[in-house]
Amino acid sequence: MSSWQFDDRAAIEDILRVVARHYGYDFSGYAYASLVRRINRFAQETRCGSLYDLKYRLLNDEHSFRHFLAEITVNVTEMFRDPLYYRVLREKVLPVLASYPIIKIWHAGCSSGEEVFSMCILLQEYGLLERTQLHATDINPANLDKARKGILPLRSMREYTANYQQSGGNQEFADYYTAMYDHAIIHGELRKKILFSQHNLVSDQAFQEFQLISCRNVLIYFNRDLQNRVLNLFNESLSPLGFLSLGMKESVRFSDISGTFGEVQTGTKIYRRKN
Amino acid sequence: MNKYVSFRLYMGLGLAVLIVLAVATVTFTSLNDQEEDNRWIHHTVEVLQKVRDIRYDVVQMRGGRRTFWFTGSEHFIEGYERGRATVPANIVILKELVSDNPLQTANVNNLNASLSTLLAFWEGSGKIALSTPRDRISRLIFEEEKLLQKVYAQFETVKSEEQRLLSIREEAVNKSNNVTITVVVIGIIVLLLVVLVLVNAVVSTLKSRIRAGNKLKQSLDDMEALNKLAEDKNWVLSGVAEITNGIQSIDGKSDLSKDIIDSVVAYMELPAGAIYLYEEETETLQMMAAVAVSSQAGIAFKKGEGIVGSAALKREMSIFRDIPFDYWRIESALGKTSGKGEIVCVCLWVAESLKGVIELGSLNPFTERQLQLLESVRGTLAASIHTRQSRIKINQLLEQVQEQQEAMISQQEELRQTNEELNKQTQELLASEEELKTQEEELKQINTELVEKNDIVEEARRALTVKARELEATSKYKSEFLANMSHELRTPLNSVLILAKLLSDNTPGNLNNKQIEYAKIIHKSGSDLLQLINDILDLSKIEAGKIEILPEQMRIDSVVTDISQLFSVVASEKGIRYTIDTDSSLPATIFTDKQRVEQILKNLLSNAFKFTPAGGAVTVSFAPRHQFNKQRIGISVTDTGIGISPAQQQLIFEAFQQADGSTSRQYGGTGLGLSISKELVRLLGGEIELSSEEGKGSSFTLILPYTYEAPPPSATDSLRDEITVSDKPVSLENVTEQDKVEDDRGQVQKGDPTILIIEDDANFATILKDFARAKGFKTLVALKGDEGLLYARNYLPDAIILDVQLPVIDGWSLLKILKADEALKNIPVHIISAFDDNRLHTAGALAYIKKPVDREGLEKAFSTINTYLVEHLRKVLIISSAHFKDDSLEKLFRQKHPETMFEQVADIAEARKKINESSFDCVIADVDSNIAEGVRRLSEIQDELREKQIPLIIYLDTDISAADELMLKKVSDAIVRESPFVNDRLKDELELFLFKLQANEPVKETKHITPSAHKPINDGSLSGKKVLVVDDDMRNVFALSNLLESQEMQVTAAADGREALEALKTNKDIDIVLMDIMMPEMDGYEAMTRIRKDMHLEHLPIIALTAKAMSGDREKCIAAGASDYITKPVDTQKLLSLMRVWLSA
Repeated sequence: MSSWQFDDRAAIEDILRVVARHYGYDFSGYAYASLVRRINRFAQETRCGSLYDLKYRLLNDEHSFRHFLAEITVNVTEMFRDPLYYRVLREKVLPVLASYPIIKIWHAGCSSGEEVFSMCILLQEYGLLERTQLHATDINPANLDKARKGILPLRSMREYTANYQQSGGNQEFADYYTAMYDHAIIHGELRKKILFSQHNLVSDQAFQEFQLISCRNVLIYFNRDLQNRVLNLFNESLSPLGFLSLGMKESVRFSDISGTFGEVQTGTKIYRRKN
Repeated sequence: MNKYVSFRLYMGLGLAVLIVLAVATVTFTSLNDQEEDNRWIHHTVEVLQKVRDIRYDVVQMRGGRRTFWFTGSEHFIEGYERGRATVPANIVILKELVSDNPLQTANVNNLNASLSTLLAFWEGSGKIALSTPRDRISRLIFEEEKLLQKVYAQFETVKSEEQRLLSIREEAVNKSNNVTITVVVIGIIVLLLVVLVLVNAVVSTLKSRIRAGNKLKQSLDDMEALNKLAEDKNWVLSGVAEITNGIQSIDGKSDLSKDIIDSVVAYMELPAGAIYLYEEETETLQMMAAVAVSSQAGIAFKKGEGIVGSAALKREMSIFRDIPFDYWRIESALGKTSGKGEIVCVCLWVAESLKGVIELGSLNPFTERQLQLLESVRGTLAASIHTRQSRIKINQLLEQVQEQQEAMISQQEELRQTNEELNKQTQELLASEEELKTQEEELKQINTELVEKNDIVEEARRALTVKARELEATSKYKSEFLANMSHELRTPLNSVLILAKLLSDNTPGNLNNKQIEYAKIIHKSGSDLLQLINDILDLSKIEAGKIEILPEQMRIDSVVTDISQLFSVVASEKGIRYTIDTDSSLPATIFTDKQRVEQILKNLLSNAFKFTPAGGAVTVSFAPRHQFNKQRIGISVTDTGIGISPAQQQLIFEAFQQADGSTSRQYGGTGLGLSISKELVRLLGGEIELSSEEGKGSSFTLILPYTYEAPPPSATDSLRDEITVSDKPVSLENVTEQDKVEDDRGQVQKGDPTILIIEDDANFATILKDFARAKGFKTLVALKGDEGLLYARNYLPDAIILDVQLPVIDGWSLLKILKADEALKNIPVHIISAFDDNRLHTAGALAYIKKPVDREGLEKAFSTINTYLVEHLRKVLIISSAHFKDDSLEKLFRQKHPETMFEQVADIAEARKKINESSFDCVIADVDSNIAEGVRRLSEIQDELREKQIPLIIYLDTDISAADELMLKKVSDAIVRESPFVNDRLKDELELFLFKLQANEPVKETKHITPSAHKPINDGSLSGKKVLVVDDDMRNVFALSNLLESQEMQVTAAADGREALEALKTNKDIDIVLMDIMMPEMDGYEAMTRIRKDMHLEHLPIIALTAKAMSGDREKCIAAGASDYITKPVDTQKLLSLMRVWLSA
């Protein structure tokens, strides 16, 4: 067990500066408290006993940096997470999306893809998948590689099935994947409309006009300023009357764009652009 | 009265004039008569004269004849001769003169006859000569005398007649004179009387006029005083309004203090003023804003300090008159001045709390009305400061809560990630266990394998331990999730423990000692793991505030007994001296949670025993440890163990820290015990002290108050309660519908023009209703506010007439509710009220008329409403022959927006006609599967639509390609595809185009390309070049196409890599490619690679466009074959420069 901890802001900022300069990833807008925990965890895992060790390792070992990236960005996700949210998507959002000849959806911060797979299942059930283009982006290329494969641990599938059912799904959930050994692979047909690409919400720009942007439980890791920047980016990337969905505890309320959006159903954090 | 007077005056004056006229007439007539009479008198005199002349001549003739006789002198006959000539002539004249009077004429004729006789006598027989005898003469004379006498008598007759006439005429003249005089005298007397009466009347009228004038002047003075009073009052009231208006900035961002002082000083026209806000923490009044205040003026005052500070102690305004000259200064760029004047300090209170002070300076004494204004406005100002402060505070708190929530979720997620990993490890362990079990059966045969497997288990265990440490590292962040997960965590571990225990028990007797030992290690490790998990759960529970403290009267001696029993065995086993001391001055019991205290002591003691080698000593002593006046107990656990270095003493209470990284390996344990203890002690209201010397031992002292006090509920709890208190929505559940005024509630049909009257006076409501009906409106009448709202929601009227004073919900609130309601806010609201309130101007009402209202007023109100309704009528044109057969869309839309009209035509020609004829606000057109044809058709009306800025919505019922979409987007503003709820979408889009964007604001253009400060100049260098734009973002394609076409380039577009390759195959002469990276089908990297490798277009310039800005992206693009690279949003100047560079080669 490491007997030291980075909790000194200067030290943390030093590390972030080094990372930004060397790898182009700017974490300075991340929520500080969380960042401190993640960095400490990484230091402990890699047994970096000092700031110097940590910096040295990050600068000289790209593999270590990949690990660092994975640690800093928390990748908790599941299929049909928050079933109520998916229920509202089914009832209130998909009927509207159906009226677009080509539907464009962006999952920002898609992690290993569970949510975008869930979205594909919904679209498939509503017969919309064929005319939908989904963009799934994440900051971490490792996550994207994982997501492209569409392979999930089999043990999670039971929970996902329950989520699916609670979200209002009435098909056979097992029809959407093939179980192999201890893994399940989501059918390729479901995944073919997803374009996975790397996109860093901190620095990158709008690249398409979407009717739905889903960015759930990503903003919680950002500080207020960065949240504001990202929400503005989403606003720019949405078509008029487009939808934006956030995590259950996230909100557009304290951002510049709070006046431009209205919540589709209270508590689900699905917002719609008013114009 | 006046009329009468003037009538009298006019009458009198008229009379006087008449009299004067009468007198004049009479006088004039009599003068005329007199003149006539005089003429006649003169005439008479003339006649008499002539008579006298003739008589004289006759006398002369007689005399001449006689003398001649007597004398015989011829000389005397001459007289006679002369008379003979003159007399006949005079007789003729005389005849002339009397020709008017027949009597006299007759007399004169007689005379003439007599004379003629005489003359004839004298001529004939009467001839005398000297020779004539005497007698003859005598006879002659006699005869002569006879004739003469006759002539004389005739003379007398004429003469007397004339004299008679003369006297008659003279008398007439006299008479006429008398009459004239009498008339004139009487006329003058009457005139005098009339004048007298008139003068009297005029004088009395004038007198009363003067009296009235005086009275009028008096009442004017009174009026002026009243006016002044009213003006003052008005001034005060409009001051209150103005100042209130001045501080009502909606956004809450402007500086309230500045607004207040500005508006107060501006309205009161004061030269200077300052506002101080009271800060409770420091008890100071801080100057927040000022007008024209010298920079030397003080900026902060303590309460009671200076005049501002002392004014703050009082509730009333403080006025400082007679301040010394040069006391205060006003500064401006032009100079500064100082003066005498006065200062007023207005303190602002809300209930019992001081909000601030306003200090105002005036060069002149403050007027009563200024003070009155300050008095009336200060409550409002205080309240608005209070409100603003509260709002800021609430907003801060809300933001804090949001942040805390986010932090909590991120912590949960982090913990969950850790937990998942732990779970994974547990799974692995289970799997290993499974293997172990299988091996058990084959253990004898494959002994070596078992060892190997055991190593794996050991490895797993180690990994588990590592992971457990990770868990420690993160789980200090309290997590409800983890607490709840305890069951799931323990279940698998329990099986491990049970199975390991079974193995080590070796009931079948088929394991050797070594194997039993291994199984025991598994069990031990598992137990450690369980302990670890329990500790983590404990800690997270404590930190999550899930542990409840249950205080009781704790007997100290029972604690002593407990810990003595617990550890005496360990002590004797390890060979450690174990003593417990109790100070006699301690009370028998203290009030605290016994279970927790013992938990802490157990932890301290087990540490002490752990780190104390054999032969050492562990001592527990109970003694009072009072601090100040707080009674506390100190329980020390002292050992003679390895001790803790000063540096590490800081760390050991932190969760997941131990004195030495190696300690755990030597002594075991999780290292969480002290953290848990520390947290528990904190909960119990105590503390832990540590003194230690490395190598000599440590002493931990648990200090607890005699009496446990529950902490006050935390701030966040109370905060949550506060937030849930929100605006209470208006309940429309129990609205009773009025039945006093009969209206059209049951008879409103779709499309009927409907007006809702909300008015509590049933009579006036009836009037309005009748009026509205006469204007052709169906009418609804509500007598209460909530009822009105209910009808508004249910019937969606075209217009609302609203009273202000209403029961249940007043008019202002109702107006606010209506305007805040998406569905109702477009309904015009006309207010008719007895109030006069300037809130109106911001309230969003259509218009306002004041009660009492007359017919004209009502007419005007209704015409305002009508004008509004006509002007706000929105028209939608549907071009379709195949769709929209029913009017479901129209129905749906008009439900919410009754001010909309739909028209439908079947083809474009007709549509064009319609569009040219009348104005439409939106066009919906359908396009069938032949997209290109549809676009061509629609482009026929493009010019009209563009010119009139009519948005076009395209409706289609087929799937389309990205290229089709691009084509459609070029001509339309929205594309809607047939789908089950398509009407809802159409409704949303129509709303957007008809209502939300009506203020000439285009849909917010997002920045795909950032225009440079100057419009790009077309220098012709790019002219005629062919460019292929590859991007799936339609907006970007449009923006780039516009830019490039302005440079006279020929633009071809492709939506993805595959299309780009196709385009390059068919258009061999493309000069340059702009390539997006993130695209479906084939991304930019692949497309570029193919262009270079497969199509062998090595020299075609390709500029990569990407939204990504990270350092590696550029290299990646170049590596894939891009000639150059530019990031989105595209800087136009930069892009054009880049293209010039690549095309110039």
